[in-house]
Amino acid sequence: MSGTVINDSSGNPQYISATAIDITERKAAEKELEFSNAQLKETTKAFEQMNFALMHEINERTNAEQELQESEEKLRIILKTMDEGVAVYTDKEIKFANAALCRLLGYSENELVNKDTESISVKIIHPDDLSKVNSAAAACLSNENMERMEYRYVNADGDIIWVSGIPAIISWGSERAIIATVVDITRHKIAQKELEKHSLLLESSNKELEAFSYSVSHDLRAPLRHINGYIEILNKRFGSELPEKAQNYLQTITGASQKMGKLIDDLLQYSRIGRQGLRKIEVDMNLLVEELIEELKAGVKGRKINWKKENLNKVYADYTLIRQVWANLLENAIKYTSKKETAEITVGLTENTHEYVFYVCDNGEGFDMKYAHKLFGVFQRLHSETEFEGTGIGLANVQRIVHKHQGRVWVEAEHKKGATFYFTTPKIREENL
Amino acid sequence: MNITKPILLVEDNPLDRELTIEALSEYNLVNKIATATDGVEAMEYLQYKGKHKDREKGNPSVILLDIKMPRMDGIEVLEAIRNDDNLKTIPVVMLTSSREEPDMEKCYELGVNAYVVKPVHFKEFLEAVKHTTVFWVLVNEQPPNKIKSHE
Repeated sequence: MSGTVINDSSGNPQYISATAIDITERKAAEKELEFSNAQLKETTKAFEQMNFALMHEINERTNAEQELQESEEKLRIILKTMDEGVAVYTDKEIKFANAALCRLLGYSENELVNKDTESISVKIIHPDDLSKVNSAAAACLSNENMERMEYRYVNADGDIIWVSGIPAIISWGSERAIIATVVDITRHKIAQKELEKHSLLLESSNKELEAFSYSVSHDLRAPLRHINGYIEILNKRFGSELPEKAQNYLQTITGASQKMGKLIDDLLQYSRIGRQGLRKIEVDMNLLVEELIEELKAGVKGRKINWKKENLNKVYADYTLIRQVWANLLENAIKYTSKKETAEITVGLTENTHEYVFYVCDNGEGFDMKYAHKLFGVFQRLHSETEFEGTGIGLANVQRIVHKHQGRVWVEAEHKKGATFYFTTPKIREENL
Repeated sequence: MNITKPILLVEDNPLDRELTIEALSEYNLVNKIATATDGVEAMEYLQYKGKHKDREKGNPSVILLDIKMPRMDGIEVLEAIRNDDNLKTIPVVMLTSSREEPDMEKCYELGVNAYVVKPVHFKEFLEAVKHTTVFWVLVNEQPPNKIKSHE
C-alpha cells in the first residue's frame, strides 16, 4: 500500500491520495522464486561437486594410464635388457620372445613369435629333452609347483645350448599362458665336464700312485729283509770264523739296509698322507699335547728339559694326522736341543682374525734363516746325519698335513739360538675338505 | 693238541721261506713245518690234492700266509678257507710285506686272526714270528668242533 499528500496551488495540503494493491500473488511468486533460486544454487553446488569429482577421476585415470604406460615401459626395458631369455607361449602359439632368447637361439623375433608352439619346440629343444620340457609345461598348466630344471636347446647353427629354466603361469590377454625364463649355463656345463674329466684323471693317477706305493712297499722291502736276514744267519752260523774286519763290514751292511728300510717306510707314509682323506673330529689340543709330552718324556729320561705348555684350544681336525704334526714338532724340539744342558721347549697358541696359530719353541741348535725354504721339502736336512739322525721326511709330513687342513706352516729360527715352528688351522670349520 | 699238528707256511719267495723257517726253528717248536709255494698248492695241501693227496690227515695248527703270490694270492686262499666248513676254524696269520690298507681291510673282513707286516730288521722279524706263531700254536684254544657245522 502507498499514500501521497496532495497540495493546493498555494502549497497547502488538500487531501491524501492513497492506493492499495493486492500483492498476495506476487508474494507467493517471490517466495517461489527464492525457493527455486536456492534449489538452483544447490544443484549448481552439486554439479560443481560432481564436476570436481569427475575432474579428479579423470586426473586419476590419466595418472593410472601414465603409470600403466610407465610400468609397461619398465617391463619392456627389463625384458629387452635382461640376460635371461624369456618366452611366453600357450599350447598353440608362441606369444612373446625377448631379445636375450632370440640371441641365445640365433633366431629373429619374427621367426619365433606367433608361430606354432609345437613346431618351434621341436626345432629349438634338444630331442632328448623335449618330453621332459613338455611334461613340465603340462604340469605347470595344471598348477603344480615348478622347480628349476636343466635342459638343452639347439640354436640356429645347430650348437647345443644348456639352459636352466623355470616355467610359470601368466595371463596373456584373455589366455592362460606359460612364461619360461631361461639362463644360459653352457659354460658352466662345459666347466663341469672338464672338472669331471680332471677328477677322473686324478682318480686314475691316484690309483697308479697307490699301485706304485703298493709295489714299493712290497717289492723293495722284501730284498732288504733278505739282506738283513741272511747277514743275521751268516753271523750266527759263521760269525766266530770271521775276522773282526769282516764282522764290521757286515755291521755296516746291516745298518745301511736298515736305513734304507726306514727311508722306504717314511716315503710310503708321506705318500699315504697325500692320498688319504681327512676324518675330522673335534680335537682337544690340550689333551693331545699333554699326552704326547708324557710319552716323549719317557724316552728322554736322562735329559733336563723344561717343558712349558700354555693353554691351547679345541680344533676341528683329523686326530691321527694332527697328532703326527705335534709329534714331529715336539720330537724335533727334543732332538735339536740335545746338545743343551737345559732344554727349554714351549708350546703355545696365539690367534689372528681367521686362524689359530700354534707354535713349538725351543732353545736348541736352530739354523740360519736363509735355508728356511729348504726345511719342509722331502728328504731335506739342514744338519748332517751324524750330528742329528733322521731321514728328513718329518717336516715334509707336517707341511702336507697342515696344508690338507687348509692351514699354513712356517718357522723362525736363529743359528745356535733355537727355532720356533708355527702352524695354523682355520677358524671356520670346513667339513672334510 | 696243537703242538702235534704241522704249521703250514705259504710263501712263494724261497728266501722268505728259508728265513721264516729259520725264525721258527729259533723257538724249539716241535711242530712240523709244511710249506706251499703259492695259494694253489696251499689249497691242494689243505684239501689233500695233487702232491699232497697222500699226506697225513689233519688240519694245520696255524697257517702263515703271504699275500702277494702267483696263481692264487693269500687273500683268495683266506677266502677259500673261511668258506670251507672243514677248514674255516684254522687260525690264519697273514705274514706279508704290505702294509697297504685295502689289503688289511679285506683280510679282516674275511676274518683273519692276525696281520703281521714282516719287519725289515731280522731280529724284529724273529720276534714277530715268535709271538704270533707261538700264540696260535701253543696259547690259543681253537673253537670247539661243533662250530664247524654252522655257517
